[in-house]
Amino acid sequence: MRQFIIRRLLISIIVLLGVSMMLYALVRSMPSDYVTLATATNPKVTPEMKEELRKIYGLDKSIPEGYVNWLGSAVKGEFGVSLKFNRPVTQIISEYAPITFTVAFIALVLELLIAIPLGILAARKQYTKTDYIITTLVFIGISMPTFFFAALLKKWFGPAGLNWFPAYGLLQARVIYNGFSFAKLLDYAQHLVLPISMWVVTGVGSMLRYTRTNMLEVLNADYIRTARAKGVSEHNVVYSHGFRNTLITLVTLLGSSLPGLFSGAAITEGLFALEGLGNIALTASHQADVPYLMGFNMLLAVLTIIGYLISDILYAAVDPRVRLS
Amino acid sequence: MSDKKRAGELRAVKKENLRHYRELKKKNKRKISESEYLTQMRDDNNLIEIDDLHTFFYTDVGTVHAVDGVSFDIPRGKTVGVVGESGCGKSVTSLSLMRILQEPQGQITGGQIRFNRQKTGQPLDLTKAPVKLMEAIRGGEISMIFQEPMTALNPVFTIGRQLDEVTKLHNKSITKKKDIMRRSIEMLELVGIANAMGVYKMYPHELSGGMRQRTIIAMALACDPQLIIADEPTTALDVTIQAQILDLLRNLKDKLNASIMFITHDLGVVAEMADYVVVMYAGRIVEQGTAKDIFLNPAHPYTIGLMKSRPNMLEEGERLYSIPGNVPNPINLPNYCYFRNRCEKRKDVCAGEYPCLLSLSPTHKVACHLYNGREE
Repeated sequence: MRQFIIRRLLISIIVLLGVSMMLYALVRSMPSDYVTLATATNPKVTPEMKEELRKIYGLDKSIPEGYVNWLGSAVKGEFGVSLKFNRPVTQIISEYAPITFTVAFIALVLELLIAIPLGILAARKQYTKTDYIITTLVFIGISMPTFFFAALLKKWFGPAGLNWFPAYGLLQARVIYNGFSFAKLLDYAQHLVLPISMWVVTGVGSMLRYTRTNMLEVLNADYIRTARAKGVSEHNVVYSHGFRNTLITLVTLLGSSLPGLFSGAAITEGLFALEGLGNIALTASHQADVPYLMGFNMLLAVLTIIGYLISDILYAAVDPRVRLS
Repeated sequence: MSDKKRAGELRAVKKENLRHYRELKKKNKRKISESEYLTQMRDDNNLIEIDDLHTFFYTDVGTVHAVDGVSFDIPRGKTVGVVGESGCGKSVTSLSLMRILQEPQGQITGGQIRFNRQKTGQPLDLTKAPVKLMEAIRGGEISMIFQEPMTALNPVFTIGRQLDEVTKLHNKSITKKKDIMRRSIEMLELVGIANAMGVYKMYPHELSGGMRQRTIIAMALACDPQLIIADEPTTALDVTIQAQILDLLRNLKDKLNASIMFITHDLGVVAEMADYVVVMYAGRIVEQGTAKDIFLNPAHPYTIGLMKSRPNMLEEGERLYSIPGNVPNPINLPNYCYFRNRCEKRKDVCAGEYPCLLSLSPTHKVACHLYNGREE
């Protein structure tokens, strides 16, 4: 077990090296660079000045040269200063990650709480009204474009409609909170209802369908028939003998959702004007902000690797046939 | 045009199926009073009397009459072999008996399965018994050994947990965890597993096919059942293990004074195990009798064909006999003998209605036109 983890971590280093190489090449290959974009509206900037700026930002070097420089400081834990925000990349990430994570984590927990019981229910009642209603709703959820659904939510429940929830931002602009208070928490919660519901509605479908399909497969297995032949009650057949086997695949799904907890959903955050990592990454890519994009994407790469490692470990924990070696 | 017609037919089938599903749902919801399922045995020496059983599968392409009017008895302490090709309804008969058909597609649509219940002394009709009662009977009084040892055990639970479960469910006199475990280990030893303590803690994938089949048998016998249904218990095993398993079953049957319903397509095994034999073809019984009747005087051309296609009858250089043709499509079966198209002794009369069961002797019955007028 320990050997497995150590080996996987060693392999990860090679993977990360490859990923960073490709990322850097891609980010630098954008059709335009930060200097061009930032000075585009200023006619007084001469080409010589632009060259000067590129030298300052380190954009004058070739891709391999630039990569080696970036790598040199990255291994020391320095990810540079964001060109667009003019602050250290690590500082930006650590400041905005909590919001992104909180929103995504609450949404993920809600998704699981909805998807698993409903998925099992749909599988048990396959081809009945219950099943058709659940699968249809899920289908609508999956197919609904996020921007459209966000607009609907804002229209119905936002200030323009029922006025139950604010449509934008994280906190009321007109109120000043001193330190931590219950009122502040409530304000956060009120602002997050719409984005989280949108996240859940559009995201719950895939997990639910996963559960349903898996459960159906498991319920048709021979060992389920054996359990029934032993006189196990229908409830225990489904929730003990059946679900324990469905869990194996769900666990794999869970591990791979780890990077998603931090990447945020650029579109969701944008639509509700939430200052999160996804939204910032979107702005950064519009501006070809190389240091921020590199830092952010490397974080996701690391999380992806950790996510799969956790997946594998959990996989071995729930399935006795799997031995990590 | 014919495509359109076909599509229309399929829609009609689907609609009809939905109606049957709804009816079943209604039936399952209803509270069943005792008077509805309590019944009387025809002969008190019988443990099971299957009487005109009909089990249909409502599939998207039509209704499959998987079991179509099957009647036979399982006497106490005897072994009844049920023989036939794949898809002839042997397994469905046993699944109907246990009431573990794949619902709502598979349904018992008619007939009775009378079970002479020792525990209460009151015979009951298994086709009508409420689900809760069936759960109490399944695994305790009637248990089943499945044909797929590789997949019939739950891969995520230890052998011990799966064995304990049966005792916990049916043997309420054992309550202490330690005693349940001791009982399970006893059962493992009984079926000839040497390292019972070790196997108890193992997962199914750590065992060989023969070991798994033994644990499945141990599971089936854990609560001293009155009836053991063995659905091709040796098909997946190699010959040496087969013999051991058969010996084991025979010994255990005598020890528990249980009856066995032995389902197989292997006539050699039946000859060794069974007191009575039922030969099925396309959902119906074509011949039934004592083992002696069937093996010494096979009457139905299908039974004779099965006997001839046994490899151990071969002389050197002789080709293995096989019955020509295949089992007919089970949807929309014709109203003449289902075996007619494959039969070597076909006569003009065979184009007529499906033959009914004729008695050749008090124990021997056959459904074939060849024996019309030869009744004793």
